[in-house]
This record gives sequence, structure tokens and C-alpha cells, in this order.
Amino acid sequence: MSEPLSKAMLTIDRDLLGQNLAPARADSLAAEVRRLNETVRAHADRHLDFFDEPASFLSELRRQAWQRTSSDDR
Amino acid sequence: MATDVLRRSLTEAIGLLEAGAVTSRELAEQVIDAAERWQPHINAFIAIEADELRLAADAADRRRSVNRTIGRLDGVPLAFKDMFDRPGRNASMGSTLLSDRIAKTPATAFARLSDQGALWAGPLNMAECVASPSGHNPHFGPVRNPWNVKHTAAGSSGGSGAAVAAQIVYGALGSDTGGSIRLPASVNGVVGVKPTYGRVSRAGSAPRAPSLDTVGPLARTARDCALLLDAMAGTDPTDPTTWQAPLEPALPLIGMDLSSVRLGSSSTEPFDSCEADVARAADDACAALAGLCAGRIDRVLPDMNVLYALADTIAKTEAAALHARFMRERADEYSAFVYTRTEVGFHLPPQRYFEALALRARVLGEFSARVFDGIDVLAIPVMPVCVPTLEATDAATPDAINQVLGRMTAFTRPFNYLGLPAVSLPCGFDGQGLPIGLQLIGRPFSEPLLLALAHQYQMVTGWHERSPAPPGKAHRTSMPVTFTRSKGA
Repeated sequence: MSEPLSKAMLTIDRDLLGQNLAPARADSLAAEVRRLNETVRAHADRHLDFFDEPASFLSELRRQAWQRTSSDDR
Repeated sequence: MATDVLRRSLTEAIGLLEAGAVTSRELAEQVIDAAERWQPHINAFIAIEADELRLAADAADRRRSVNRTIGRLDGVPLAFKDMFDRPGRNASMGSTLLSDRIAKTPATAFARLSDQGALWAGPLNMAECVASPSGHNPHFGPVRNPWNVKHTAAGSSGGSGAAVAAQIVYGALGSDTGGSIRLPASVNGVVGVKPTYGRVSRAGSAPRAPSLDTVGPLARTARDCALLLDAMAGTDPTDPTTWQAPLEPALPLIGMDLSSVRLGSSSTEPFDSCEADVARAADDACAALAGLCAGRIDRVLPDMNVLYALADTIAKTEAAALHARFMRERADEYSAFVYTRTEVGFHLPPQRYFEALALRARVLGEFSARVFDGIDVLAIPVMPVCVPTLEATDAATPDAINQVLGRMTAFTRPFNYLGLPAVSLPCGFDGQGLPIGLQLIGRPFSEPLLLALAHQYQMVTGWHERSPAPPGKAHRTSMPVTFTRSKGA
């Protein structure tokens, strides 16, 4: 999302929760959402492969697993 | 009865029980007395279950008297963060949201320690909804740091860190989604283990962000943590993320030869911006560690801010999804801080959440290739800052608090995203006499190596042997003291 999040959008989402949002909080909430949104999107644009998928994380943990070597023995 | 039994380590307490130098009932009475003395000062417990502990201790003594102990931990009092299920009981999660929920089966980690004979002194105080390292809880009151009650015991496992540091119990159960074991371990001056994602079952523990949540132990020594970790780790059919193969236990490798282990540290951004006391203590600790293994190599780490944002995106999205119904229907039961901290997740685009998850394997692979090529263990501070006061973590606005808490978790949250194991251990004290912690981070499932190195460090330094002054006595002076023993002692 290249445009900054608007207060209107936050208000719409907020209405779904049935709560009222103080204007000061809307600004800081928008800033936090924008920061996360832009940081993750930029990283994904550079590094995410079309075939990457979430389930491969557990496989990668196992693939990278530490193995004790003989020199680690007492 | 042996004197000062609560000053001993878990391992030593087991030895005293096995030698008949102390009974479980005697230990239980000491624990109850210490818990009641400390409670008005640090508020570590949500409940001290004295009668149940006495009954369980008597049963353990009867088993021991006929040589029928049920496990290594038989008769040893521990405590647990109040987020682990016990049959017929309520686990508060530091909130009122679950007050009507009665568990049917025990949390796996809790059950495995119980199966080894562990006794329980009671549920420990924690952050509301497992949501914050601040140390505050609007429902049960703040957990105070036993080294200085004006300072935070951190969180979310604040009661666990404080109770172990105050020498009330020998160890405690905690959980870590963004630093919630390592931060309380660090600020209270004890050892804490955030295990590899998948080493310890989370079944029966209250979730915050299931893709990041881990369960682990806090104790005063690395050896004790190894003992507790081994007891609770392993495959669990009720948590499909647990590794479906035998795991190398940690305890047998305590004392292993570390001369070929390669240590890495980092002095580049953001680690060059630590407060002076933290930087000094971490540097001294790295020098001591380097002397125990094959030297020290400086590493430039990937952008920690990106790793943090990836973790935070997952944490906030999953927490928002988990709490959506409660937030719609019972918003008044949340503190303003936890509510606002969680609501961010409602506004993040779903594609960011998917990207953060989908990138995870690639980022882990690249991190391992870049950082662990040439080193076995990475040592960095747990926090870039000294222990904040409770006042500093309870500022007037949620945004102000978030700034403080963001700094506290800057070096911990990225490793939940990577799923890597991290051991927090005490490495000194700041100018105000509050503990400083160092993290040892390794490849997935390298907890045995990390704990072996932490143990050797504790053998040549004495930070873990210092303890806060009991209630009513002046707290100990702030000047750090280096204890030196011969290597390998």
C-alpha cells in the first residue's frame, strides 16, 4: 500500500469493532501500521520468491539444526 | 536440616533430598515462608498454594522413604507463570477474560515436570494477556524487581523471573513470544531459556502469537535450566509444531569441551548504541567467553529492524485474531495499553502477514549462512538499556510506553521470528545495582551447546551467586564484583 493509511480507513475498521477511536490515537496507530506495512512490503518486494510458502519454515529449522560433532564430546 | 537450602541451586537441592539432608516438607516450608515474606514487596505470585504444596511434599517424602521416587525432580518446589493449564483449575493469563474457563487436561510442559515429581508453589504473576514486557498488570498489580522494587521485573514472565531471583523457588516455567523469558531473566539476574521453536510443546499454554510462542524454564544456573528443559522438551502429538524426532538432551553436555567452539559478537549498529553499563558488561562477558572457547569473531548482523518488523507483524496480526471476539464484546476488561498494542493487528493488510510468514524460511536460511558461517554461538546483550523503573514503563500514553518497550525488546523479538534458541544469563550489574543480561544464540536445537557454554561462564564468574537482599534488609551495593575461579572448576 503506497498511500498512507487514512484516518477514514481506520475509522471504518474501528467501527467493525464497535469502538470509538480517539483522534490522537488514530495518528499514532496509523504511523505504527504504516511503519510495519512499509518495512515488510519492501523486504518482501526484494526477497520473496513466488514459490516461498509459510510451511517451509519448520523444514528450514530442521535443515539448519545443530549437530553435535565429535570435538564437542567431553 | 541443611541451612540456607533456598540459596542452593536446583541441582544442589536434589542432591540434599537424595542424601536425606533435607525433606521435601522442609523445603516446602522454606518456600512458603520465603514466598509470604517477599510477596508484599515484589508481588511475584498470583496465589501461594501453601496447603497443596505441603500435601504434595508429604507425598514426595513418603515415596522417597520407600525408594519409589517418580523422577529426578521429585519433591522439588517450582512455580509457573499463570498461563499453563491444570485439570480442574483456572489459568488467568494475567487477565479476567478467561476467569470462567476451567482446564480439563494439563499443559504438556507442566505435566512433564509434574511427571518428574516437581511440586508447585503456585501460579506466578505475569503480563496481562501475555502481552507486554512492562512488568505491569492492571488486574493483579505490577511485579516488582527484587533487586530494587522501584524497577520492573519485566515480562511477560515477570513473576517467574522475580520468584527465582528472590530465591523463593528453584525454577519456574515461562513463555517467550518476543522476549518474555529472556527479559525477566535478564533484569532479575537469573538464567532463562527461549527454546528453539518446536523443542517444547505449547499445548495447554495460553497463546499470544502461536507462530512465535515458545515455552521454557528460568532458574539460577545454566545446569538447572538444562535439567528443566530436558524434562519438558520433546515430541507432543497435541502440538504438531514439536519436532518429531529424538532431541539431543542438554544436561549430559554440561561440562563438554568447548575449546573448538567459535564465539561471535557484534559491535556494529544497533549494538553500538547500548547504554554504557550494558556495553561494558557485555564486552567483559564476551571476553570471558572467548577465553573459554576458540576465540571471538565480530559479525555484522542482518538489519535487526527488519527482523523486528517481520516478527511484530506476525505477533500483532495473530494476537488481534485471537482477541477479536473478546475485544468486541469485553473491551472494558482490557487495559488501554494492551488494547491499543493489540489493535494494530486489525489494520495490517493480510498480504503483509502472509509475506512475513512466507519469508521466514528464506530469512532464517540467509541469517544462518551469514551469521553462523564461521561461528557456533552469537553473544549479544539481552537489552540495549539498563533496567527501567516501573514508572518509566507506565507512562501517560500507550505510545510513550511503546517507545520504552520497543527498546527493551529490540534484541529479543527478532530471534522469535527466526525460531532460534537463546539463553539469557546474568553478566554484571549496572550503576544502580540492577542486573544486566547476555544472550547466547545458536543454530536451531543447539540448546545443549548454549547451556554448556553458559555453564562454563558461570563456573568462571560469579554473577549468578549474588542475590537480592531479603525483605527488610538493605539491598546490596551496586558496584559490580568479578568473581574468578580457575577454568573448568
